[in-house]
Amino acid sequence: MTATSAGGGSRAGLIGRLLGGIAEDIGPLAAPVRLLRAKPIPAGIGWPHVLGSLLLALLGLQAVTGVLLELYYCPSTDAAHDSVRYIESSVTFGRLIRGAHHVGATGVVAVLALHLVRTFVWGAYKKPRRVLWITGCLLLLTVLAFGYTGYLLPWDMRAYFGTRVGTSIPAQIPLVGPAIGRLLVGGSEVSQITLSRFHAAHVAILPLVLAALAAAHLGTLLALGITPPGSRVGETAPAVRTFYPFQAAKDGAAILLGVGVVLALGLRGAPLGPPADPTDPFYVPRPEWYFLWLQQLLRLVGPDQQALAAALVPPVLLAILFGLPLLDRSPERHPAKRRVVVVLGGAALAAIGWLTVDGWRSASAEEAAMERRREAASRRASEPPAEPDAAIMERGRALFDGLRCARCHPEGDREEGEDLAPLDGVPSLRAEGSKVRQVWLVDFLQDPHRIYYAPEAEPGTWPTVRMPDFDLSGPEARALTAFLDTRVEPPRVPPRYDAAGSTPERRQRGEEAFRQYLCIQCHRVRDEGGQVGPDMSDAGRRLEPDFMMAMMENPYRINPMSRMRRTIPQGPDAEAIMQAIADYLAAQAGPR
Amino acid sequence: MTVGETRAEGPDAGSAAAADPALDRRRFLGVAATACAGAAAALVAAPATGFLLTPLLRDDETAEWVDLGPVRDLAGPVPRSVRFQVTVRDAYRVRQQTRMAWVVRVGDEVQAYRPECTHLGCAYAWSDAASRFECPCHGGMFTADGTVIAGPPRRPLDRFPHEVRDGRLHIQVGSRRTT
Repeated sequence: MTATSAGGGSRAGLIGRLLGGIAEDIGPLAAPVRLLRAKPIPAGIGWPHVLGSLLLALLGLQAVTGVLLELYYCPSTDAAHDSVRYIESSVTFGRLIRGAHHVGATGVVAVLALHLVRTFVWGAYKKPRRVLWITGCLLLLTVLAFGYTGYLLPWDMRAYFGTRVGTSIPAQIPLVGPAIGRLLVGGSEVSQITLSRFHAAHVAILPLVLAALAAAHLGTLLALGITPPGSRVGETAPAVRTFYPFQAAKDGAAILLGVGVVLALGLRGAPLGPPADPTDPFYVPRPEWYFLWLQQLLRLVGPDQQALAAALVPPVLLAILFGLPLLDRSPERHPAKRRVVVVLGGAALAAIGWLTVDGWRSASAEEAAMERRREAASRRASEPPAEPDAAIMERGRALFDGLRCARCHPEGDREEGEDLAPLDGVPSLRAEGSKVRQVWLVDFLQDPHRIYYAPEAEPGTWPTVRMPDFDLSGPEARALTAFLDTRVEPPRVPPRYDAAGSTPERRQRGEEAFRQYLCIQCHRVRDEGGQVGPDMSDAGRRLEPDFMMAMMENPYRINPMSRMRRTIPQGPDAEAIMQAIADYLAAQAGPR
Repeated sequence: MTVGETRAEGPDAGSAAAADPALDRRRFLGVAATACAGAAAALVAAPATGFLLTPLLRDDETAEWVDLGPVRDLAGPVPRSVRFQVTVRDAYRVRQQTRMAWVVRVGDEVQAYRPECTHLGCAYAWSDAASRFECPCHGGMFTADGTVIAGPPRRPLDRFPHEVRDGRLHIQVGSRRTT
């Protein structure tokens, strides 16, 4: 009706006739619009049903803001962050457009979730609209994939670490995980190829997928019509009015409100952290809020079952979601007549909500703890080591007992039999003062990390249990270090390292001896060496030279469980060789 | 099942006499729907337009003095192409670029020309055989002092603003054209 009336005969000019002709030509193309306008809708359709239109509008807004951002964005690890900052600072309305794209993403997920809940409550996924439900679920996955890929593009700390974790989770899946991880990342680590792939997916592949799915979803909806609320499967409800203008007005109001809210919140811009820095040890990755629940769920499962959980949980949840029309086959649509299904769905929703809140809280707590540690680290550098006076010693002992360090670190004497079985490879602390250097221990206690860096080393040769982070403050770590430093065993680790005799020539001889006596077969120094024993790249910072010499002398005497064997032959030269090797290792201060 | 162009079937369409109010309501809702959609589109279009027009609104012109070297070595009666390094701020990147100028002495005057033809910006070159600048694209030709001899160019070669300080030739490199 719109098409033909436009060119009607009143104005008989050439232009009028021309336009009329064109209007007639494109008339058939407007058929879907006419169909939608005149679409009969049953009673009970109202505000809850604006969500679909609102979602479509918000997706359109994302497309507009996304294309605009693409005019300036550069998907290169060197330039991405700068280009985003440029958009924020130098492009007219750049801050608003990026802010709207950021807020809009959250808006899309939120409205999609509400749309899905409404569909669920109304039982609208039942026959004959099962295809509609399937395309809707696929749209949900597509939208989540948009979020997953878009998260990386600013290439700031949040993006980088978030994606590093986000790609590591599927990589844990048994058997196929590593391949999935490599495919996602485009290699062995998050890098330029990752950024290029995520960008291509975000701006080219996913939009096509989304457009196709949305067209299928809307086409099906137009053909089948909206589910009459409360009707049984097979029942038809009388249409009471047309889509236009009754529902269209509500849709329009909702769209105006939604777009207005997104733009208003977008005025604040979107967060942009410092550029990605893989060396920052204090950064706590946090996924986008709509992935928090999944991360928290995997976390609750515990580290041992996590790989299995990563493999099982998402597919099972997806199977339930997609399979809903097959699981709930009763002809009833009204929620009151589908109590079991509705209660189960509500419980699932509540669980997701709780996990999200819980995940949010624990992520915030971790961030606060890391911030404290970052401050402590910057203070530590300037502070002199504390004097081990009696009060500090007492505090250290109290921490040692309070934190129950002896639970994992064997305390009993081997000869007398043990009351606590040592966990695989966890070192004894009986001679910690003879073994490690204070400066290293203070650091380590505040930020425990593996000494054996190589994850591919033979299992059983390094602690399978990582030392938990007790979130110690600087003074606490120093007190505990002062206490542990008193635990020395002069009989087993006698002072014998000749520090005064250290010369560059002796260190050079030590490096040669380190190779000649096969130390390098098991120990790594920087880029070279085996991975059976601990990495010696930071031995000078970490270990007392006396202890290294005692290990070279007789490993069994220090630790009967050690796989280390003496390789330096007995003889008059042995002492000089060991002094040289200890000297060489004492000079190794990196990489930490 | 088709309702089509039914007039008045709002929720309160029961009262048969209310044909006119129902029609008004229908018209009002139609206008409201269109207005809302239009307003939402305008809300987006306004900042989007500004975003798109940024190149018109932003002044990204740069001007920087560059030392080309001793003027005695550079400027002779035969034009020479002189390459120089310049640090360019290119949107969000800053980088070193190599650029070029044609330097020539005409009488007592030293001139440094931009290496782009004033017609459509092709690179031109000095022809020793013909003793003139020739542009390969559309046959533009210039004398050593930059005057157009033949072809489509409408104005003489663009010159870099220049100065001779302590016997060294400095030119002002910028995006703005100065003749």
